[in-house]
Amino acid sequence: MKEKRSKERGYVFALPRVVSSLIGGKPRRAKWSRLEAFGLGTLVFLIAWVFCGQEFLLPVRPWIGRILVLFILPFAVWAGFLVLYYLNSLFIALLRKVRLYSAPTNERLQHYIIMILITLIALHFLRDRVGWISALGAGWFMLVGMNIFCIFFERLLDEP
Amino acid sequence: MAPAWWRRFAVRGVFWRQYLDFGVTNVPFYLMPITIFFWTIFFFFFAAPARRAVLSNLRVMRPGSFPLTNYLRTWLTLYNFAWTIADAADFKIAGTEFVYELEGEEFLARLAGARGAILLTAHMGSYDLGAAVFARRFQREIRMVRVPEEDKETAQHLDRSLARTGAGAVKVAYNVSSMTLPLELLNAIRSGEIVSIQGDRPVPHASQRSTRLFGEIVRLPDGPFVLGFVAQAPIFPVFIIRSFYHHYKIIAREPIHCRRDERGREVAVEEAMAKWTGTLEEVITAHWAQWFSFVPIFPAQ
Repeated sequence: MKEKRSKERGYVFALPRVVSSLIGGKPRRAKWSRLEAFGLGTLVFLIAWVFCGQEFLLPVRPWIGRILVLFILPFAVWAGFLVLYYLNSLFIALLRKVRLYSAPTNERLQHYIIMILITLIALHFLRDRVGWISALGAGWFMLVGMNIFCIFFERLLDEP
Repeated sequence: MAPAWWRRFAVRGVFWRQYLDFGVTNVPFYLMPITIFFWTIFFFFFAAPARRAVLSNLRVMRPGSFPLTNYLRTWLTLYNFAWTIADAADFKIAGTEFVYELEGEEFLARLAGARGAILLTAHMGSYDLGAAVFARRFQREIRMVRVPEEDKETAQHLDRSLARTGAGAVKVAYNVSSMTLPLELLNAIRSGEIVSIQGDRPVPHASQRSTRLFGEIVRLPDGPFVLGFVAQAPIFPVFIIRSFYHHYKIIAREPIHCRRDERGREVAVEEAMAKWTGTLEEVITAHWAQWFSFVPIFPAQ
């Protein structure tokens, strides 16, 4: 626990940290930003939801069926994520057994797996004919690209 | 009676505590808000007694509200509860750093410097996290009084959690005996310890008396005040509130004294209880969505 004495900011990703330092802040690596948590979480969930919607909504013809699918889909996507966390945890447990992973929590590897999955979906979106879906895919790639750039930028800044 | 394996899956069963630990170690932080959002919907429907209790409390706290609005407020209360227990687990397992600010820092400093005192709090925000923060920030040990969990495995799990969160600075005393516990607490206060008690709902087999809260007559524990009177120790109202994502606020209010005088014990205790309910009402009014009182407090409407 850290006592709040100043307007110190904390972000997990390099992109908001670099933006914050460019506007005069002194950010650190910490899970303190609600924008980061709620914003990225909503975006990841949205991409997964749109992808599942494409797969499951198109075959359904009657409008009442479509409304039903639209209502059930967010819950199904959430349940899908729960299954994914569980399967990933089994895989991580296996990695731990063969001493290929030793972090105290599974969160980091879960993050990498989810990022890879969402990036693959975004790649699929890029080829979509519907404008806003391809824009969603492009937006994801832009964010990922900018974050990778900021990781290197931060390292440059840290060099003596 | 349900078989033992099935009781694990009850709302207060150990399965959900273990699942929470799994979630904290496996769900990336940015997917936690979505995960908590949907789990709250699940528990809103399946934790019916808790939902009904919050709803009945809200009817008194927010009179004249549209019933649907109170259902949404109940959902919000459960959502906040989910966040606070997730944060406590996150702090315990992953050592995640949270930000906290203090309101009434001078009272907290006085509490930390007191030789024997009572920290009176409510089922608000993250009670366990708050005690651990206080113990670390002010380098003081706390003896926390808790009502034991009904489920044995959940109780054991919670014990381990508290030991890890408090890093040895938070000792737990279970409210199981109305005879031995008061003496144990009195000795602790007299030897200079800080005893933390929740004073916002009556506990079975513990002493209680009638007082007014939100204009209604309710039964609240009088143990902390009798203890304060006998030990002549100050009672500090302290609350820990979740401000927003990974940010908390510790609110401390002016201490309540149960002084010995010619009017006698009963008057002193009643006056102190009235002061406490006034403070409680003020804090609950401002943070109604974080009053995790999952039993009906007010008489049936």
